[in-house]
Amino acid sequence: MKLLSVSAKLWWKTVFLNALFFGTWAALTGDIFDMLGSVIVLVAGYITTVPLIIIIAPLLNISTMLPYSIPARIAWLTFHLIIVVVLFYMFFSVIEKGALFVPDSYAVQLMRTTIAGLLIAVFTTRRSITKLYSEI
Amino acid sequence: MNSLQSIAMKYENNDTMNRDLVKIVLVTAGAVLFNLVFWNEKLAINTVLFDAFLLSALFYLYPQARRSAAVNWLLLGHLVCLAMLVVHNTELSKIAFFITLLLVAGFAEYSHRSVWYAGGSMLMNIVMVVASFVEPIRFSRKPAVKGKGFSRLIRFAVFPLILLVVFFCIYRVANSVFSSIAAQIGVQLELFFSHFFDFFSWQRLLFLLLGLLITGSILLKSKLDYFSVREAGLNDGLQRTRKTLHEKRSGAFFQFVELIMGKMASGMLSLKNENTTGIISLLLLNVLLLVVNAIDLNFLWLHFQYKTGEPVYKMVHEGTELLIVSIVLAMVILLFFFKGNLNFYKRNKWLKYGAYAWIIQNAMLVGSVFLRDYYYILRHGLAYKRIGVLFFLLMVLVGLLTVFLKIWSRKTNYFLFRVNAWAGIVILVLATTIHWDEFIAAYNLKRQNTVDLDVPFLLSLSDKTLPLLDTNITSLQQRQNQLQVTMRDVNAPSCDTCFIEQLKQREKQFAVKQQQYSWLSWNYADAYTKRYFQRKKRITLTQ
Repeated sequence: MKLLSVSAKLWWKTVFLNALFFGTWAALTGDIFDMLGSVIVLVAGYITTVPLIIIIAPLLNISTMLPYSIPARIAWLTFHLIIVVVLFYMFFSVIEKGALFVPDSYAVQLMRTTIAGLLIAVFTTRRSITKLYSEI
Repeated sequence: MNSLQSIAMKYENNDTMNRDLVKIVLVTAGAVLFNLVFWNEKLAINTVLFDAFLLSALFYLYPQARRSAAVNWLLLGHLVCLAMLVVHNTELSKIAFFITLLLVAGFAEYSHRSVWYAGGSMLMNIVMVVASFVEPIRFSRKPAVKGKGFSRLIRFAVFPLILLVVFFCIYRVANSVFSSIAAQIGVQLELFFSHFFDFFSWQRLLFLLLGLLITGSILLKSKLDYFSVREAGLNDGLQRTRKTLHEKRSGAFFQFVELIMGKMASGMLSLKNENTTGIISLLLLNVLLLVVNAIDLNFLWLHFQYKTGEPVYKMVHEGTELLIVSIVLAMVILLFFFKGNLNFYKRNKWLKYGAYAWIIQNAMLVGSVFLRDYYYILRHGLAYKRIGVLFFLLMVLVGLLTVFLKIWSRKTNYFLFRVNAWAGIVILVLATTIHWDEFIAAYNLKRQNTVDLDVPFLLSLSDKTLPLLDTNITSLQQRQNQLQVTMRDVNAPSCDTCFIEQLKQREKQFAVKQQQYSWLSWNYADAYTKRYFQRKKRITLTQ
């Protein structure tokens, strides 16, 4: 149960921060439609990425079993979550554009903000993750 | 005594810390070197620099590896692959270089005898590379205080940032002066970031990260030694084990056998029944294979003739694939019968004879497949798949020989897979010593009057073949035109100069590619082609 709650925490924080960064970037570059688009990114992000929890939770579970120090385990988890993010956007890009990566596309922009969001989400959740590691 | 112990412990801790620091420095240095020598270059002489660094670092970190015979033999194979990478620069030499490098690292870092298990350990290294890299870094031991530091800053920033974005949008729509100032700031920011990323390329950063992952995977030993622990419990010699019926029944395979054989699989005479079933099966299979071999002996070995009207590829494609499957299946069946205690059964003499006969007959089948391939090569010349079949047959022969050894000397499946994997590595290393593209082109062109030349295929071979094709281009053209006349394909467009044009296009592409590379991409194959065209003065290439 604890595992699932930490996974869900990582997931919702990442999606939220992704939308926030996307909106902030759009505000900085002066694109008003993209700023409003960040709301769509937030809502659609929560809807489309819910299934990813079934990938995040096993990864978190595996990281609890690794014979490494807590920072090393967190680094391992972060790296593999980044791989999941990249694979997700590659899949998204193939469906949308028919190619794995299209430079300067929305998928690439979103991938950058999602990775940034994920890094901060892991950083701000590190206490819960550490607690989980020490409990198991 | 206690003070002495504490001093010793202190030294030990210092030594561990130093080694950890060295590991991080070496991996970082390797990543920087990777970035410097491979960025926008191809694998060539630069690989020697990177490999020299990696091997030095590897033997520095794991000095005991220098005493291992397996490591030394693998190192020899790896150096052969490296030399061939610089000389031939083929895709095969590059693949073999990576495989042997990973195996050298696997055998140096862990205690292994089998290539399979060493490969598993290296896979573990790759998966665990991030954790292995972070592990030696000493973090502050002070516990994180809730609500302090950077985390606190992030938490405080989120809500104001959302408000800022929302009100920014509102003011921007409501106030045109504010909107134009914001737009100007936006343009300046975009300019700043574009200049920043021109100087500090994302691709270069990712490439550095790739270098870090590759160097880390090779140099950093994972803490998970699952594969070396598993292998430590395995032996070459088969041991007789006594299993209770309960233990046997826990396996799904035994349940399946029991379903078919009923009580015969689990009763007192189960081993005898298994032996009888094996003898009957091998007898029937031997008789069947004898008929197939007799047919092949008559039509393929002794009285082979190309049938008019029937293309040779039909005979090869229809036969080869299925025969290869049948040989592999034969080995699986033998492994099934000789998997356990039947090896120690006193009356297994006829079962063994049946197995030996079947191995010999399968070896003959290998010969038949070889002949099919040979006749195909005689008529159509060499190609990748035809050479691939020859290598596969060689591996199958080694496989059959090791199956024979397994039955004869009561060896385990571990022995079988271990020896076959080593044979595979030896064949892979030897295969890199030949530039296959050049070999194919030379063979087919030499026999252009007897084989059906596939000119478009020859033109698709690597750059090293360009000089050879250039010397023979007129005859190739004539050959193609002759074929068109023979086939009476009136609808086909006439092709008087198209191959010459294609070849010139390839030369141009080669010249353009070469101009993009520096001395780091030097390799003998490219230098040879470059020199040929320079001598011909067909293209001007910068040194």
